[in-house]
Formats: sequence, C-alpha cells, structure tokens
Amino acid sequence: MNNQNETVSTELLEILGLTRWPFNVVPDPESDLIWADRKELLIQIQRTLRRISAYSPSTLHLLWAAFGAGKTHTLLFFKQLAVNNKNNQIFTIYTALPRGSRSFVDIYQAIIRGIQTDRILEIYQVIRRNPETMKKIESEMYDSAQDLKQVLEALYVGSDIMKQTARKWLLADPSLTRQEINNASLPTKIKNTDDALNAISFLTRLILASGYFRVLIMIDEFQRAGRLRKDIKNEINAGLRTYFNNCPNRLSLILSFSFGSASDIPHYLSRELQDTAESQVITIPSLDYTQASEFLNDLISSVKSPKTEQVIEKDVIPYIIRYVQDKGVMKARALIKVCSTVFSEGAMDLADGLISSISKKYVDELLSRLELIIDDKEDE
Amino acid sequence: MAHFEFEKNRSEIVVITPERYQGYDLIDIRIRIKTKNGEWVLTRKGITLNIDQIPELINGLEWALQQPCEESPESESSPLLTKQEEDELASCAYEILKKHGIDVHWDTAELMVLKKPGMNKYNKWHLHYVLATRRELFKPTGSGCFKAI
Repeated sequence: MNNQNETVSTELLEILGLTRWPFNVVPDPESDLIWADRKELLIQIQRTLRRISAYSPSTLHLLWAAFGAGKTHTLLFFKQLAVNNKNNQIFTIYTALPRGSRSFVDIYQAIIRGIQTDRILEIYQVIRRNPETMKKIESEMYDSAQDLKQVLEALYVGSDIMKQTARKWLLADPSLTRQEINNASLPTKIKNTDDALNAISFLTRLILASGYFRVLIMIDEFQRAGRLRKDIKNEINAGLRTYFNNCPNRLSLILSFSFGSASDIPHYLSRELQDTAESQVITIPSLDYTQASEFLNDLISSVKSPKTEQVIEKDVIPYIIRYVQDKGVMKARALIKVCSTVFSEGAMDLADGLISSISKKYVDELLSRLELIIDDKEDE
Repeated sequence: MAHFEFEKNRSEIVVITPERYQGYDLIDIRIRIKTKNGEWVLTRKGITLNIDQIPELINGLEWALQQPCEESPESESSPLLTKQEEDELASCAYEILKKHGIDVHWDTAELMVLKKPGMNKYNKWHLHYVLATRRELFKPTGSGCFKAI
C-alpha cells in the first residue's frame, strides 16, 4: 500500500471504483510503481538493464528530463526493475545529490544513507563466513580494507555504543568525536575525498563479493551541481571519476538531470566523466496531447474497475489534458496534480450526493473555482 | 529594526541595517556570528556609513565586480564594458539562462555563455558584473547563483 492510499480513504477510492490511488506527485519508492505510456523510454530502460546485467564493464549513464516529466519516477521504476531482475542480482541504490554539497564526502554520505548501514552489516556477515573472499579484498585494497574491517567488526560484534559509533563512522557523521573513536578503537574518521573514495570503493567490492552481479547507484538531481562553485564541482566530478576507476567492473552510475535542454549536460560534467559516459543520454521530454492521453489512460486503467467508467465521464480526461495544455505545462507531474485535485474533490462531492458523476461541466466549474499551481519548476 | 541580511558562510551572516544615530542617517553593515550556544550575535566587524556615502560605495562595488579577482596586486584593470557590450552580453546570457530554466552558479553560467559564438571577447568578470547588476533580467538566488527572470 502506498502513502497516498493512507490519505485517500478506502471509502473515497470505492466511490471512484479505484483499487488504489494512482495520482502521486512524489513517487513512493516503497510502492509498486506503474509504468504509463512512453513505450520507447521503457524499451530504452529495459535494454539498459539487460546490458548491465549481461556485461561486466562499469558503465556511466546520463538521464535528462524536462521539468516534471517524470525523472524520479523513471529512476525509481528502473530501480524496481533492477531489484526484481532475475538473471543477475543487482544491488541498487537510489540517492540524490545533496543541496549545497561541499565535497565528494557529501556524495559518499548520500550513497551510504541510500544503502543503509543495516544492509552493509548483512553483506559483511555473508563475507565474514567466507575468509578467502575477505583475504582477496584485503590483498587488493590493503590500507582501506584494514580500516573498514575494523569498523565492520565493531558494527557486527561490538557493544551497542560501539555499534552506534561504527554507524556514525560509516556515515562520515561530522559530529563523531575523537573520544568516541578512541573508545570504540576505530580508525581515524572519514574527513576528505580520499578517505571517502577508499571507503566506498571497498564497500562496493564487498557488495559484489557477497554475490551481487553489479552495484547500480542512481544519483538524482545532479543539476544541483550547477549551483556549486567550480572548484567544488570539479572535485565532485574527479571523485566520481576516481570511484569509477577504482571499480572498473560491475559498477553502474546513473546521473539524472532536470533542466531546460539536454544539451546543457556537458556544462555539469568534467571532460573525463563525459568521455566515460554512455553516448546515448536517456531523455524524457515533455508530452504531446496523444502521449498525455495514453499516459493518463494507462495510469487509470491499472487501478480502475467497471464502476470507474460509470462515475467518471468519458470526456473528463480529454478536458483535463486540454486544460493542462492551455496552461503551457504539458508534463506528467502537472497532469497528475490536476487529476489528483479533480478526482479527490469529485469523490467527496459524490460521497456527499452533490453530483451523480464527474462530468466535463463539473471539472470546468471546479478548475475555474480553484487556483491550481501547476507550473512548478522543481528543486527551488 | 528592519534589516537585510545574507549568509557569508555557515557561521557568519552579513547584516545591513538603516539607522539613525545622534541625528545622522546611517547604514550599518556588520557581521553576525553564531556562538557555541547557537545564538546569533553582532560583532565589531563591520562598517557604518552615512547614507550620503552609499552611492559611492555602490559605484565602487560595481567597478570591483568587473575586475579580475587576482592574487597579484599589480594585475591590470579589466576594461569596463560599454553600454552596447553590456547589453549584448546580458541579452545572450538571459536567453541561455531562460532556456536552461533553473538557477546556476556563475561558474556554470560562464561555461554556458562565453562558449557561444561571438562571446569569447568577454571574460568571466564581465559576465559576473552583468549577472549581478542587471536585476531586471537576473535574480540572485544566493551563494553566487543566478536565474533568468
């Protein structure tokens, strides 16, 4: 059950004949995501997934979307496909570039938060049962392996306080004090890009050695890098490039961007990262009328029942699409926002007996009465 | 008292306050810092000017915005833009940032704008000046970032 279902009551869903609420502006990573329309994009995603599950070289993918066109939804859907991938298991991490990043350490923290320390512990438990594998990783990355092993041991067998300190260490928590580190007999904390790179490279090898075929890291909102000073942006680019070099096989990174034109992506990446990236950018442009219509029909058809067609008249969806089109913001998010308002208001009016069905006339009156803000250039 | 403030860094804020002291109309520009207790307090670091001197301060700042920030004090002054050049650069930057749609640091704007044909005669300081002063076209969004209005 997704979060939106908790705010849209079962009674209102029943009135509309819906099995669940399909109009979530912010996709819920815990729910089963629906793929609506955009068949070419779906094929592109499926082919990318097939490729990264079949070949071992590390890959860097770029994804660009027009504002509100469904970038985060696409990434989370990709994650859902990757997690359920039967052929080769893919360890998938979704995170977003933190606002106001100061160095690669911020990216490291975001990735570790995306993995969660409990999962790291589970992975370590698997490796710990296989000393040969651990020896191999240690021989490849001697210094960082020793430090990380100490931290993971504390996380596994330490007291509660030691475990808490080990968690803070892994998360590069700036509040971690020297006293806490000494008490838990842990190595010096992660404080710069090199430390963070050693740690993330070691953890990536650890995950792969535990049986996963590939580690896939999605960094959403990478356009935030454009708000950083050149030296910080370069440092983050160099950090990503070094991470990539440290893991030449079975690592995939997806960097996603949302701004006016995909042609602006190169301004956000160093020459080295641009050269590393796959030549084909995954693009999600704005919708035209037909695509918008298929998008909403797909969205509703996955959750509707025969009752839905009785209470929502046929010309309502085309009317909503034209309304959004007239506002000049033909985007998946704008359509979802308007539908969410129309159908939640409509369900309440149906429940109160004020209307017997949601008609074009009803929607027209409703939308002219409400001040809908739908042109949201996100990430403000 | 009414004031305008902006973040200098994570622990310091610049506070600008118009005030009247012993019959003089003044503008006080001062640093406010965060203490260990988490409270914000004004420091002695700052300057108080009579409002008659503020236009000269603004002139000075506008001149400085067009100058290269160099380590060597002997660096030569950057040639100032003519009105025509300023308009040309502002118009090109506006078109590019408007199409881009989101705010960017002027470092990124430099990559976008100065690589365009005909724009290589300008330098990054000229671009910064244009972004910072053409308020009818560009909105500063903090930490060196600008967005086309």
